[in-house]
Amino acid sequence: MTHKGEIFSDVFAQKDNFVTRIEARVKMGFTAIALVINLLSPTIYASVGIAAFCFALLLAVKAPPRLLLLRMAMPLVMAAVVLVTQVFFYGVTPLFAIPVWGWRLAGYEEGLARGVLIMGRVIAGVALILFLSMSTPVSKLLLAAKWFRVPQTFIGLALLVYRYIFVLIEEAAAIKDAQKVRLGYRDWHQSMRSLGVLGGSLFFRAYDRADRVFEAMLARGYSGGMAVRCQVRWGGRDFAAAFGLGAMLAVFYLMGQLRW
Amino acid sequence: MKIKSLALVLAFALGFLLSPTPAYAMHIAEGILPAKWAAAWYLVAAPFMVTGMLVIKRRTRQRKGLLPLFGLAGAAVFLISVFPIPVPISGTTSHPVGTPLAAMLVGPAISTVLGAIALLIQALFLAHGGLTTWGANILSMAVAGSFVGFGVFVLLRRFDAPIAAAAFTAGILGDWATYAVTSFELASALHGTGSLWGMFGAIALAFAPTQLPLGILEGIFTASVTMVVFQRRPELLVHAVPRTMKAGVNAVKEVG
Repeated sequence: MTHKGEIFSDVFAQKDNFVTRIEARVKMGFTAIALVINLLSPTIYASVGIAAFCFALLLAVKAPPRLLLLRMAMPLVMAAVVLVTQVFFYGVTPLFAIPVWGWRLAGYEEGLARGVLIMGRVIAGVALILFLSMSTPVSKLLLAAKWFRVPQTFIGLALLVYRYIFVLIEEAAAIKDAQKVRLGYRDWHQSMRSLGVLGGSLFFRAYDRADRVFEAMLARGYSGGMAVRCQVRWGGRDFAAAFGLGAMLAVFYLMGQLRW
Repeated sequence: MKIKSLALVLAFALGFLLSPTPAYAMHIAEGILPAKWAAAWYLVAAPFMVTGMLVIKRRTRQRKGLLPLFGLAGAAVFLISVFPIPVPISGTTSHPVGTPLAAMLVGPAISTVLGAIALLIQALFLAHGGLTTWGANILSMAVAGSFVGFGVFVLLRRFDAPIAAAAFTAGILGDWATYAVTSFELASALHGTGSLWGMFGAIALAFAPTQLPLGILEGIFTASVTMVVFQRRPELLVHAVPRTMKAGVNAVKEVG
C-alpha cells in the first residue's frame, strides 16, 4: 500500500506559506471562476495565463516539480489523445496528409487549433485544481463549501470519508503485510484471492469501527447533525488577497479575448 | 471515415498503453468537456445525487449511528477504487471502479453519493477526473456503475444464479456501463460536425483494449470480495439477497 503522503497532496496544504495563508473561500471562489473562464475563453491565452500563474505560485512555495508532473501525467495522456481525435475528425482545411496502406489520412487546421485549445484547457484546469488542493487542507475546503451552501449532509459525510481513508489505509497495509507473510500475492491467482479477502476485510473493519466511532461521537455530544460552520472572519489580508486574485481573474478573462 | 476511425483507435490504444501511470477506470480529465456539456452532465447527475442525499438523510434520521457507517463505507469504497489489481501477462496494474460492489453493500442511491465523494477526492488529490467534469464522471461511474451493478446482481439472484456468478456479472457489466457512458459523454462533446454515433463507436472501440479486460478484472474482484462478505458476514449483503434468503440472513443478524 502506498504511503498516504504519496497519495494525497493535502500534506502540502498543511505547510505555512503565503499561499496556504489565503482564506479558503477566496481560493475556492477564485478557482471556480477561473475554471469557468478557462472553459469559456475562445482562445488559448487565458489557459496559458492561468497555468503559468498557478504553477508559478506552487513552485514559489516549493511544491515538488516531480509531483506536479506526476499529477499532470494522466490528464495529459487523455488530452493528447483528444488532440489526435480533433486533428483527424474536425475541420475542412487540410493541413497535412499521411499515406497509410494506400489511404491518405488527412489532418485539419481547425482540428489542430481546437485540439491545442482543449489541451491548454486541461493543463490550466489541472493547474487550478492542484493550486487549490495543495494549498488548502480538506477540513478548510469543506468548511468553505458549507459557506457556499453545499448541503450539510454531504459535507459531514465527505469529512468522515476523508478522515477514515487514512485509518483504513493503515489497516489495509497491516492486512496486506500479514497476507504477504502467509504467501499471498505470489502469483496472479493468489493475488486476486488475497485482494478479495483484503477488500472484504476492509468492509468488515469499516462496519465494526463504525459502532465505536458512533459511541465516541455520542460521548462528544453528537445528536444527529454535525456542527459544520465556517466561522473565520475576514481580515485586511483576506480582502487584499481577494482583490489581488480578482484582478488576476480580470486579466485571465481579457487574455482569453485576445486574437492574434 | 474508416481510416480516421483506425487512426483514432490506434491513438487511444497507444496513449493508454504508454500511459506512465496505472490504468484507472475512465475519468474525464478537467478541461476536456466544453462548458455547455459539463453543465448538461451536472444537470443529468443532479437528480441521482439529490435522491441519494435524501435517502442518507432519511436513514440517518431513523438511525443516527448510520452516518459514521456510511462515512467508513465511503472510505472503503475510495480505497478499493485505488487498489492496484495486477493485469496478467502485461505486468502492469489497473484500478476497479468499485461502485458495483459498493451498491451491493449499501444500495445504489447511497453508493452514488459515496462514489461522488470518492470522485471528488480523486479529482482534488490525484488529478484523476476534474471539477467541471465531476458531473459527467458522477453519471458514468457513480450512477451507471452503481445502478447497473446493483440491478444485474439483484436480477440474477432473483433467478437463483450462484452468488459468485451474479457478483462477477454485476462487476463486469457495472464497469462496462461506466465505459459506455464515458465514451458517449466524450463523443457528444468532441464529435464536432461529424457523426455522434461514429465518434461514439470510435471512442468505444479505442478504449476497448484497456476497458474490456479491466471490466473482467473488476468482475473477478467483485465476485471474490462478495464471496468473502457472504461467507463471513451475510447480513452486510441484505440489500442484494433474494427474498427467500432474507429470513436466514435476518436470523444470522439477530444471532450476531
